[in-house]
Amino acid sequence: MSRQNCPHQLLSAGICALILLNGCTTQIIRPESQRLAETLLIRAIRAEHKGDVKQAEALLKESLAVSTSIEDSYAKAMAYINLARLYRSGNHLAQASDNIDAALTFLDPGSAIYAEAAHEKALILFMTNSAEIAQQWAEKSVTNEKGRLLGRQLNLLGRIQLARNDLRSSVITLQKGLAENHSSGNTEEEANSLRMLGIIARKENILTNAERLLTEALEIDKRMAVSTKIAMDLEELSKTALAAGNVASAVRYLERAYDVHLSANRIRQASATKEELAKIFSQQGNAEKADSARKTALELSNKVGIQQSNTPSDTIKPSNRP
Amino acid sequence: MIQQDTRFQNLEWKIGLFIIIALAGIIVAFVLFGMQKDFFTHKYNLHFTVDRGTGFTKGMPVKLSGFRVGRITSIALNDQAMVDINAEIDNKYRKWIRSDSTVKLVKEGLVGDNIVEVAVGSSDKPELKDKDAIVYVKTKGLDELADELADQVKPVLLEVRDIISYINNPNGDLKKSIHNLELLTRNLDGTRRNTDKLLVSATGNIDRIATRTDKILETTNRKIESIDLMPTLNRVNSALDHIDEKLPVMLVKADATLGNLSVISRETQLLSENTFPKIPGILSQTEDVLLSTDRLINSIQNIWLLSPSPSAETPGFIRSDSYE
Repeated sequence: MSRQNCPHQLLSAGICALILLNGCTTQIIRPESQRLAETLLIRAIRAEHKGDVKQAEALLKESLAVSTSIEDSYAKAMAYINLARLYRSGNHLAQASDNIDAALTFLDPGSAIYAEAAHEKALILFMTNSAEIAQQWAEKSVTNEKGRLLGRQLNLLGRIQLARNDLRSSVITLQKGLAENHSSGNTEEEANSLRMLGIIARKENILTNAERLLTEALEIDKRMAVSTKIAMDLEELSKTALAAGNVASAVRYLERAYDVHLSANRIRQASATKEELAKIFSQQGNAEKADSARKTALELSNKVGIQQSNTPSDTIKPSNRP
Repeated sequence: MIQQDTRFQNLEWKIGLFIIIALAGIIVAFVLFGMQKDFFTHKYNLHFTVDRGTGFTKGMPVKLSGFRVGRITSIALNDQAMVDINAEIDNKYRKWIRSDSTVKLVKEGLVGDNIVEVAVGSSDKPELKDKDAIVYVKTKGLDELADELADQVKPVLLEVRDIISYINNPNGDLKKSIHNLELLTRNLDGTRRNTDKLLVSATGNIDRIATRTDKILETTNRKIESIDLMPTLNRVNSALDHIDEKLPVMLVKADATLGNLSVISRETQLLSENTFPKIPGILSQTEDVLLSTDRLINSIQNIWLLSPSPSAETPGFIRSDSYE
């Protein structure tokens, strides 16, 4: 009996010894303030993930204060980037712009997080309709990316090029992005690449390709269960079907997109989708359905009437420092 | 005469030997002193700036993980009225002192000397070079710590004071309850006395009733001798006798019960009077226990086996994608 147990005892003793040795080799004594700043940052990210934006903001500001007290520039830059991202998500673009500019003052292009800061800067500029300068920052994020996020940076550059109607450059960038995302296993960004390539194909009137690419994007987004992206894919598929003259299919896609928006409580988007449906019905001469769709859209608009518009304010003047 | 004295033979050699031994002694002493003062080890300089030079002295030891690794070589006031401090560090400890290392002024124990303590830097950060600046982390003085502690303790004490004043408030619920309990106890005593009187008077009445009943029965007996009511009357008589026997016992028992009730109420009052003053003390002790537990948990978390691995500590960014 004891002989049978002997290997198990030896194995257990070996594991314990390895754990102890591992502790001896990996233990790094870190200053308390630095650990506190990092802990606050992690808690802030968790809070944002749970949807508690106020708590996330408070924790990020606290982390920033701790990092400032020990003059830890790297940690300060991280806190500023995260604050900028938080404000951008809440559509507070002026604050987002101030914070990302503050982050960039602490970073040089050789820094490990410079690409992340440049990406955020490009997104903020893109949202404030400064596509040309946004493109410069997106190019910087691509050039300085040192990690696994090259595909994402390429996608943003391709998206800006697409918005600027530079379809040829956009296709090249997005194809690189697609390959990069596929090889690095970044599935969500892979779907983004496919969606944008689908949009370009539709613009170039290669409708079969467009439908195929958008359907692939939809499949990935459904697998990832990202509601907003599913609705986007359905809307793009509807536009593609309409371009191909397949009105019935376009209506079906839009109705699906409407259901997705409504079920996810995105009332404004649901209203816009109903408005699109009303337009199609009007063009088809189906006044009854058009009126019904318009009435539903109006009811939904009234429901969200007091909510703020997604359009950025005219007072937003982010710095254009390239 | 002198030349003939044997003590003066080879005098030059003896004086020379004596001087050589003395010189060798001086050199050995100098070398030992130099080794003690680290004159012969390779060193490099680091500097940092503090807002107050209080506590810093020239020659003060610089320690890393409790080991002396260098000393303070100069303290000077700069143009911004800040204090520039230069530290000389042994070259062999260079690998531990990196760009994210910090220095702070600490006391060795409660009554020990001030020392400058260097925190070990992260292995992924570059080593600090000669004449590089190192980050100084301001440590709190005893007075600042005392103030901070006082700020933290003040709200607790205020709450405790509120609780005590609530308890001691003559119009408060607790005092009223105790007062009501006292009144009840006093009333119980009165009730017991009343019951005693009632029972005594009842006994007298019953006796009188029994006497009168006897008389009535005798009279009635005489009047209705022709009717055979004897068995019934005998039964009534025996019942009355039975009641007469039991009633005093019952009265004694009721008296004892009331006495017990009075004792219980008095004990309850004593218990409450003894317990309430202890509540603030218990609260204070509970707070101490909580603080100790907090310190214990922090200590446990700092044990390397339980603390999270360095990779898990690396913070990231809020999720973002290119098509938001």
